[in-house]
Amino acid sequence: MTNDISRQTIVVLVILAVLISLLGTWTVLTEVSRVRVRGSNVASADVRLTILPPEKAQPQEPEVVSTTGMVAFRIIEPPVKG
Amino acid sequence: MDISNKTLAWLLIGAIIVSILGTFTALNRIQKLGITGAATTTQGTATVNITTSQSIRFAVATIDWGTGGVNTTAGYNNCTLYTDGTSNGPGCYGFDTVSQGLVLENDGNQNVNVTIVSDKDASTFIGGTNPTPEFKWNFTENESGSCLSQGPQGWNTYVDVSTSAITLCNNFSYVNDQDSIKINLYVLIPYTATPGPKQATLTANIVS
Repeated sequence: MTNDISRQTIVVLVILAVLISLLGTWTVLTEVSRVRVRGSNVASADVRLTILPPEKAQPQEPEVVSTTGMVAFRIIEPPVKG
Repeated sequence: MDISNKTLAWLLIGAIIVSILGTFTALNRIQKLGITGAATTTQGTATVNITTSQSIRFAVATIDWGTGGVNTTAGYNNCTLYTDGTSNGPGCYGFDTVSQGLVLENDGNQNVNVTIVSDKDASTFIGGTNPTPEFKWNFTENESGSCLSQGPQGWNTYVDVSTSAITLCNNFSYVNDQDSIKINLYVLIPYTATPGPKQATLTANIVS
């Protein structure tokens, strides 16, 4: 095709299309980030908590307790028979 | 069917034109959002058109008591939680103390009438039966002069949270330092409440 455009020209047009598209996207995103959002007629708030089973409210760990005591006795001589 | 380079070139030129037109259209629409202004004379006078705006928001939008339970080991059958700085009840174990209630703010530029509603009441939010669970709210002016006409219930006293919209405030002021209402909450958790995460959503609406 003697009247056809060269491949080089096509490549340039593709690159140009990509660059313009990227530039346009960046421009739009920049403008959007500057927009002050209008207020709302509705506002919501959340109230949260998580309930544990009551039997796990207190850990049942064994408690080590030490104490002292005294045992005392007296050995007496056995009675003499006779 | 082979497409000639010439056809490809025209298609690419078309794509470029569409891209440019799309960008300008988007920018044009974006300019119509928010506050607009335009200079009208050459002597430096600027005319700004400020649109009237009715708007509310929760400046404090979350209450989270964390994780905990009823201390049945110590002989209690319920746990009470607050947001107004009152300490959690002695029957509570593990929950955080919350000392800041919800704060509703008028961030528009007009006085508005506001209703409030919850998606859950005590039985659907907390559950349990013995004792009866409770979920209550009360309203106070976070900034004096904020509510020029208070609603019929809940002001300065705890009342049951409602799943039908009730009037919170007629003539909720937009004036700075007079545009804020506090909503404090109270819950009573019976030891029979089903364990697990619980969440309720409170919604404030501007009404005409």
